[in-house]
Amino acid sequence: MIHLHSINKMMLSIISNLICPAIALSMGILSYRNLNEFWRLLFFQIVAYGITLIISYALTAYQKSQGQDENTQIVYNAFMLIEMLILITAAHVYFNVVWSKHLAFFAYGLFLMVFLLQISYNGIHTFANYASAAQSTILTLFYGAIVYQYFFFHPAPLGRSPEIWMCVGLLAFLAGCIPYITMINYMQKTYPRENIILYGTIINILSIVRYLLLAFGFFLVHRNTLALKTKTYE
Amino acid sequence: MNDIVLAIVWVTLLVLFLIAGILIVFFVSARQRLRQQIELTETKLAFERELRQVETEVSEHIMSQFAQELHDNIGQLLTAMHIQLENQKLDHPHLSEGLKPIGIYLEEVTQQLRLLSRTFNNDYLNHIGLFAAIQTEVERLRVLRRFEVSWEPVVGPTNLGKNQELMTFRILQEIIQNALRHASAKKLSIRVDNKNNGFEMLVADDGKGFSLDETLQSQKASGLRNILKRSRLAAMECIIETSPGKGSLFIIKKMATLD
Repeated sequence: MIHLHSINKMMLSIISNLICPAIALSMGILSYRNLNEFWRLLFFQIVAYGITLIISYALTAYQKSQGQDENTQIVYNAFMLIEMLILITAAHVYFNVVWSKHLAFFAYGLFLMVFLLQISYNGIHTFANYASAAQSTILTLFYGAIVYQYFFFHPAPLGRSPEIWMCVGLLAFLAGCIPYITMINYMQKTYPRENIILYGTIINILSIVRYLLLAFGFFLVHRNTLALKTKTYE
Repeated sequence: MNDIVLAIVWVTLLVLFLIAGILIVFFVSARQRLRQQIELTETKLAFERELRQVETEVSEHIMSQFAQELHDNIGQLLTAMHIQLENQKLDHPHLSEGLKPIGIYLEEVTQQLRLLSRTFNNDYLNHIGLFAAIQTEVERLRVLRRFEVSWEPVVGPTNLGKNQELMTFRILQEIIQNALRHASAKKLSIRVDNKNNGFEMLVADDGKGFSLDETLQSQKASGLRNILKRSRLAAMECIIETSPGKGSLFIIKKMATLD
């Protein structure tokens, strides 16, 4: 029973960490020529995530071979900085106005401040969970604003709105992660077994939703462009 | 231990429900706003259409009255003058040669007036149809001898509705008026293609032409605006090709979607 349970957990982890981002990446590559700057930045976020995973696995293997304790938090902390930069730039590119630029700078500054404070307090080898929670909160607000703007100022059928699907996935992931991310270090320290269950349940499931909807968004961009071209030729 | 796990799961679910709720509220209010905007635009369009319809009906009514006046009053006066002239010729045979040119002019004026009153008369236009109306207008223009008119007569009914026919004829009159007053044209050509359930009327002149954008932006283009307005009202497409020194071409086309 325990064996089956751990197999399920491993499957879920593979699906959320590898298969779903790979699907999103494939759809991104397929529609890359039709992507605008906003979508290309989202595509680069998946690329950055992929690189982070590879580095993390390589680092784990190295640490194992050297007989050291496995700890890849430094990689994920670095990825957090890059991911925040990409996603907030994408949000600014979407709005493309002066205030969004200022707001993006301010938000990134705020996030960086929390990040540096926590790193200086806990060290670079501990996951900067409060910075991650700050990142999720800030991005939730930005992408919530994108959804609002899209719904009210560019009304289109949902089947032709890739931005909506992508934002729904991203919002579910970012907002849904906040309560758990805030507690993650405490849980790891106090209840490590339960923490693994929680990680598998919350982060993995939300990650699947996020990347599948992002892949669907890429697919819609591709399909919309094809439809537009067909219409133009007619 | 389990409590804290459950608490985290519940808070996460709560946040997710909150996000879902916000998204649903956004979606529903955006759809409502869109529906309201569509309704408002439709109302505005309907009002504008109604206003144009009334405007056209009023101008058509005035034209009909004017045609009636021309026919009944001025026509009667001219007939009286004609009779008087004939009487003078009989009473004073020695003046007969001198009065002859006056008689010819009077005859011409009467004929012009008859043609003019016909082209202003909606009932008459509806009765004879567009092609015959164009024929009458061409005859009137040929008598004026202001320019050479080329027109290949077409027979049979048009592929247009009665209202569209009337509008097309009024547009043609407006184009001719512009050619007479502003273009200094020497040749005017009218061609109609009425095949395959479509309709296309091409009116070209070799006059001085004009810059379409500049003219439309100026205050003077009431005739041109009237042409465009009438085309829209009759659900016809109006294409204008012109530039200074290169004459003008007006294409009035029945919109395919109306079929």
